[in-house]
Amino acid sequence: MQDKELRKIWESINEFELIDLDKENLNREVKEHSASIEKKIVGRNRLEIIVAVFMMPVAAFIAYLHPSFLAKTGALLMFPYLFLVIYKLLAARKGRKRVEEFSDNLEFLKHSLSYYQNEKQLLDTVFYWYVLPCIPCVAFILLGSGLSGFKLVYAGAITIGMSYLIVRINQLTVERKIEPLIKRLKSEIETYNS
Amino acid sequence: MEVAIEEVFLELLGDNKAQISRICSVYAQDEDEKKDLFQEVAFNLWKSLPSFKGNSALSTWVYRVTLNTCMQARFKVNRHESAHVRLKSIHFESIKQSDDDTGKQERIALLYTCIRKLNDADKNLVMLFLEDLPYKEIAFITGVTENHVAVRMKRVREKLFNCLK
Repeated sequence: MQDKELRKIWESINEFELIDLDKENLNREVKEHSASIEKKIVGRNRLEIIVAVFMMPVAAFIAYLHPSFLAKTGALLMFPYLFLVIYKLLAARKGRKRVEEFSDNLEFLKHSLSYYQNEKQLLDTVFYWYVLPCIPCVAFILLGSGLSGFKLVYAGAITIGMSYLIVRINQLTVERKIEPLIKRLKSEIETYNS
Repeated sequence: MEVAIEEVFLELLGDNKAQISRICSVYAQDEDEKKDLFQEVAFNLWKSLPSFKGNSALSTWVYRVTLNTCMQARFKVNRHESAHVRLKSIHFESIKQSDDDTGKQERIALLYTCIRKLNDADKNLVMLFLEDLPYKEIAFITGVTENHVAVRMKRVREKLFNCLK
């Protein structure tokens, strides 16, 4: 088989399909949908940050209203903790380029690899920047809330259970989704260079 | 977006729809995914057209955006997440085949199967080669040297012909 013949087969796929563009409405539709997708992406990226920001007035409310010194301390400690969370999330999402910005395929692959490696690092260390700094805040609030005996143990157990769940979910995301992608991207980049 | 750019976009998509569709077909797992990919390419072209600097031919740039969009879909954390609402202004229609076309369709299917067996780097090279682009342009789109393209194409072509035998 010759190259020419191969090209003929390759091009003949279009003989079996008709792609019709409604030129009257295409620009308007693309514009509308593009804006809505953009909104969705921004919303999804900001959701965790919005939750963190939303927690601030809640913490301020507890600090203002609760008579206990321990609960006030816990609530006030929430502020640096929430700032840390927001900073980590913003830093992780910074620098994500759009697909059309890459000068070539290889650059796109390398950028994707570095993005997923950052994501992996962020999720791998979620215990240290998300869970651990939150524990003293919650502990102070619980101790200052007047709970005692079984109720205190119960609340503590729920906190520990939730913390474990957060860490485990992130671990599973890394193991099942991010690591296979990193592996595939590395192997693709290698084939480009081989 | 200015009216002039809107016109360029329509012309660009109209002129390149067949090429975009061929490439999307290789990357997509089914017809629906192909339509999603085609639409995604259209979005990306529309978004980035105003910032096109003109350091390559428009058609070369379309290939680059198309390949990057298709590859991005492969490297998404949630690949099977459906893209978005299907645009009404892009219609896909299958043309009924006659009995004479069966052989042709089989050959197309075999070619696609063989290309899909390749890794992404080789897949991209082959598709651009089949699009009849010169090695210089293929090198520009993929990010490897012209020499590298030539050496690699020799190997990939052999693989492809063996598969098609």
